[in-house]
Amino acid sequence: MNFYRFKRRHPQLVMVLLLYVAVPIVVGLALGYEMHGDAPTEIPTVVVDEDNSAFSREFISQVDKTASFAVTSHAASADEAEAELQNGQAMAGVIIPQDFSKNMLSGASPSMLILYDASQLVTLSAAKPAMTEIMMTMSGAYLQQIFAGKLNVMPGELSGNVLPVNIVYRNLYNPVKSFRSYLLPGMLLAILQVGIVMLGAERGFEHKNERRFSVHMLNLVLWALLAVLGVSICMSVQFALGMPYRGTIAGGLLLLFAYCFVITLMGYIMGLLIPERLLGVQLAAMLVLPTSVLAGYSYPLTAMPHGFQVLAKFLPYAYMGPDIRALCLKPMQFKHVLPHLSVLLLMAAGLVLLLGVVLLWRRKHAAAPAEEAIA
Amino acid sequence: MSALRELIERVLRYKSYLVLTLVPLLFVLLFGGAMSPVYNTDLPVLVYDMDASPASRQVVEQLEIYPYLDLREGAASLDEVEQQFLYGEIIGAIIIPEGFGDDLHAQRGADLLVMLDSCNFMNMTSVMTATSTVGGTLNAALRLQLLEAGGQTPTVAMDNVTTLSVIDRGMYNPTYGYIYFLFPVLLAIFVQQSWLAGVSPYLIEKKAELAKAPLDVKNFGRLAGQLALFLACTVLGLALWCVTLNVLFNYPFRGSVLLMLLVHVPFVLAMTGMVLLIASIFDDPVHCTQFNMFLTIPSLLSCGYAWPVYLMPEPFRVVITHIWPLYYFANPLRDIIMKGCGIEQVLPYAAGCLKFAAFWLPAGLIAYAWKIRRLRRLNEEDLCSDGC
Repeated sequence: MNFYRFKRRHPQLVMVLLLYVAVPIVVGLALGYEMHGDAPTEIPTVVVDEDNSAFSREFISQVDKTASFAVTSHAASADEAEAELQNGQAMAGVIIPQDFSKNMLSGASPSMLILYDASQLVTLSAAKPAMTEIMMTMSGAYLQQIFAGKLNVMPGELSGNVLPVNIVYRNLYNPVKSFRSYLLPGMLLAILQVGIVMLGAERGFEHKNERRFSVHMLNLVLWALLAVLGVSICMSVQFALGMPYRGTIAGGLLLLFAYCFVITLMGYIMGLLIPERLLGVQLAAMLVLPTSVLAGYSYPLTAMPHGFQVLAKFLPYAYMGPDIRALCLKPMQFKHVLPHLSVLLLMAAGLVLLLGVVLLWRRKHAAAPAEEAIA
Repeated sequence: MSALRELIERVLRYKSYLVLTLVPLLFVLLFGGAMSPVYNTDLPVLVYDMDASPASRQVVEQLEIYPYLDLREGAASLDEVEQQFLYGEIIGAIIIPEGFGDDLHAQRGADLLVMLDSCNFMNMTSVMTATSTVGGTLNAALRLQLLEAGGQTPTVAMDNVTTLSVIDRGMYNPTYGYIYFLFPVLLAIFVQQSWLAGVSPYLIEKKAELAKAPLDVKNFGRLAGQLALFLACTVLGLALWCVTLNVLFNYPFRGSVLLMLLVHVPFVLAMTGMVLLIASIFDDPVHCTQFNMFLTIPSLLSCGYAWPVYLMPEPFRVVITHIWPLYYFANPLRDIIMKGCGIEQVLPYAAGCLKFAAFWLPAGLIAYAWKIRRLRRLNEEDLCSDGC
């Protein structure tokens, strides 16, 4: 069958299939495949070893052995290393100055310079903790020598002297520090919510002249259910690619439905209000596009100015974006999603009320010219 | 109602120009304002002091001094700590176990457990930095005491404690600010999306017009002239957003404006090819807009900016650099703005983008012209069937 003719005859069906089936599958597959490495490894690292001692060689070998780093080049000077970072050949650098080992043994406390390309957030977030860990190990070994050699501390007491307070870190919920699990759940939702709100706006525009409230509500529920299906398809692709889902399924679906209902309703009201179809759709999209940033999904809310923290309380995404990630990674029970579910239901109730007001207002304005015409 | 309609009509008349210049400016103000505090502060962290000894209280005091933590106390059990994690009330917990003070005094090494909610990397790293800084300070002070008690002079003891010190340098973004990292790609996305949103509805309308009007050079000349005007608008728009960022949010621009133009213009040419292609597929501007809006986040996540190219599977890298041009704009924009890179680093991207445009611009034009011909034929068929 000629697809073009089919598209001309059934544009709505084609768009629904595109936005709720094709896009979720394609985007889910593409981004899941792109980030299937999960965490940054083998960060290209440039090394300047001006010391060239047994210690410096051991240190560089330790860096290279760590999964996070790959020593890709040896530069002759710090300037050369910086140039490699500048042109993107390296994303981290280790500069060990001349006589470093000698000065260390003589107790002159020399400094080693570690460079990070801080314009690359992903590699930076992996490189810094990994380098700190290597430094702590090396520093611990050195201090053990000091305590054992100069202070005659017994081997059993060494660790207590070298590391009086031993900080044990436990990474909960995402122990492999998967960047995919951190970023994709909320980002995929952010992608799909744009489609949800736009289709909502289109439906609102189409039903401008519909007088029965029940028809509007039925429409909204139906489109919200379709949206749930779209998001579920997209997330299922991620689960098939290995992303976990540890939370409550019923709670997650209920939360998702409440969220999709609110977003569809926002678009619907916009479609009813704006007389021009295209502008209505564009404005509806702009209403939700920035929310993944403003609701604190990646950049934390606590860091934002107070006004933005207050604004975030009114953004539906703030009650679903971080939650969809939490549902994937944390063993959330129904009681844990209940507070946000309540807020979304409240928002839905408020918006339904607004819808009623808009419909009454439209009816009044539509009735006035008709009465005038009769008169 | 009529006032609203009048306002909308006015907006619609200049919509493309507004979309190309002023609409992204609103986003610059919004995102710039939200991310303007460079440091991640007020991190909600729970302290569960099971020991309650003078030594453990000292640790808590040290943590309280640290400026970026919002410390909370009062958990009665580990289960309560876990519940607070699950409700999202805290992002980290510091557990001081029973016997902490005794272990410290007996020089057995005292454990301090730090639990991190690693769902959000930024929060996790911030709490980790905070606790390791406080832990490092505490350890250094305790080691100093031990070495001095062992007979070392304060200077020698200090040298021994601080030996193997490391100086960290975050190049190009010394404060590790998220705003500095994010804005180059946001600017690239604003250019991309405003071009898609401003130009594609125009091209769809024009397509319908051209399908009905006689084919002559004048019509295509007008189309090219309009696109040139849009190009001028997007250049003006980018300049406006950069100035706003710099003036209002002290955003530093290290590189040359001319280099930004060097990657901007080829990108717009390449995007024109994509827009022509998209406009040839869709007949309804609304459906086209819906499709375009979907491109925002996927293109941002796949252009090699958020997830570096070297980490991508090779086939994905090849595909992404051949089917969408954002890679050639977002990455050099970062290099210019953040790193202050010169022409030798930027030129390969500009050349790559021109190559991209050299293929996709003619491809887009062919598709657009083909679609006009097809619409013409369909119109004729419709007329014929009406006549019959």
